[in-house]
Amino acid sequence: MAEMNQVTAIIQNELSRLRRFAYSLTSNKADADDLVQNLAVKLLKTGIPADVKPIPWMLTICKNLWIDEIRSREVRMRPSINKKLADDEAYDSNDQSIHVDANRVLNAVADLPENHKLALSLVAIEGLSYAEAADVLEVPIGTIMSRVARARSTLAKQFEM
Amino acid sequence: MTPDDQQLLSAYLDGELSADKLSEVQNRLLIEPELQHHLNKLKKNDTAIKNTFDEITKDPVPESIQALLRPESRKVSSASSSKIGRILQNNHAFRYWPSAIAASFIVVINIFISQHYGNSDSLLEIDAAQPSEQLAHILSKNPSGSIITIDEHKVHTELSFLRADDTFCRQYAVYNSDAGLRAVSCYEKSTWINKVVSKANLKNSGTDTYQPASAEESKIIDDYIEANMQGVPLTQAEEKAELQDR
Repeated sequence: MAEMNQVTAIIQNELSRLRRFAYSLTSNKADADDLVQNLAVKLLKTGIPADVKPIPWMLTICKNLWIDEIRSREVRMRPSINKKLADDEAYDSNDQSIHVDANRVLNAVADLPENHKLALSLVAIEGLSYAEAADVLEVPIGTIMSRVARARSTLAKQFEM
Repeated sequence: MTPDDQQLLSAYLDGELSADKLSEVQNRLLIEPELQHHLNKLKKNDTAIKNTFDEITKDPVPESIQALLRPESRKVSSASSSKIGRILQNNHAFRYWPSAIAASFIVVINIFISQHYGNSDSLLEIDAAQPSEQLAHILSKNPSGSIITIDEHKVHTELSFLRADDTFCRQYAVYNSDAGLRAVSCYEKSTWINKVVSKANLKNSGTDTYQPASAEESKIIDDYIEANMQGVPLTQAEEKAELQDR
């Protein structure tokens, strides 16, 4: 088991990755940071076993916390419009188009089936191999391949609309 | 575009094709514009997705997370409302309820809890205790992170969680300049019930900070939360919703 200060260092080193992964699951920045906070609590409480790869391990715990969360809420999280940006009259038209696209992505990803979203997040956003993602989600590699492809296909159709 | 081709291109993008399949796709891409077009579209979408979710890394890390990752946050509790800090403090700070109760500790108990007990011996039957009316009011109204001063005493609402049976529970601390206690109380049948209470070496230093004691003191609290908490502590929004129901 890694020492507490080692766990802290690992979390700090991977904080951007953890926040990005959490954001891809929640489609909401505040919820993502809540999730990362809960993840950090859990990791600091339980530690990280010495015989596991820290990143897949942390993503697994994060995924489990998120599944617990959506089960307890019994609702699917929906992305919130970035009010700060929407209220900001200073941004130029190029920025505006970027953020409209971002909201479209947030909505489309939020609408994916949860298991497709998880597979896509791990592989396409976090860059895990299919084998690593299969370990995190505890499914066969072929299932990861299928879920990622279906998620991409769904998003491609959404973005064409 | 067939589902098989979509899966093939997806795996190609991820670098997950065998050598044979890779060669096959590369050859087809050279002669099938539609396949190439779809691949470009998938690449573009992947970039948009990565950029979208990478946005959060440009935002500052919330103080509650930073505080958790600072080594000092695990040594001395602060008045921060950081749920994480409170959990860690809980993990490391407290000791089992002792059989010998210090006189100064009894003073605190008498003020906040002992009106439900006739003498100091019955304090050991702490599992059946109810918080005083004053304390119950604080637990029903104040979010975690609050420090309420009553005369020379302070009540610190530390965290909230749902028990496995969906009962709303709160961890709190009471302390003055001489002594302190920490407890978990749950709202059962419209009444706050203390489930566990532990002596804690909490001291009102004149500011809103206090010093945690040894890890042993935390065990009774830790064990209860560990055994009963549903998932993780409530977020501020979830806690607010629960408090509105009280």
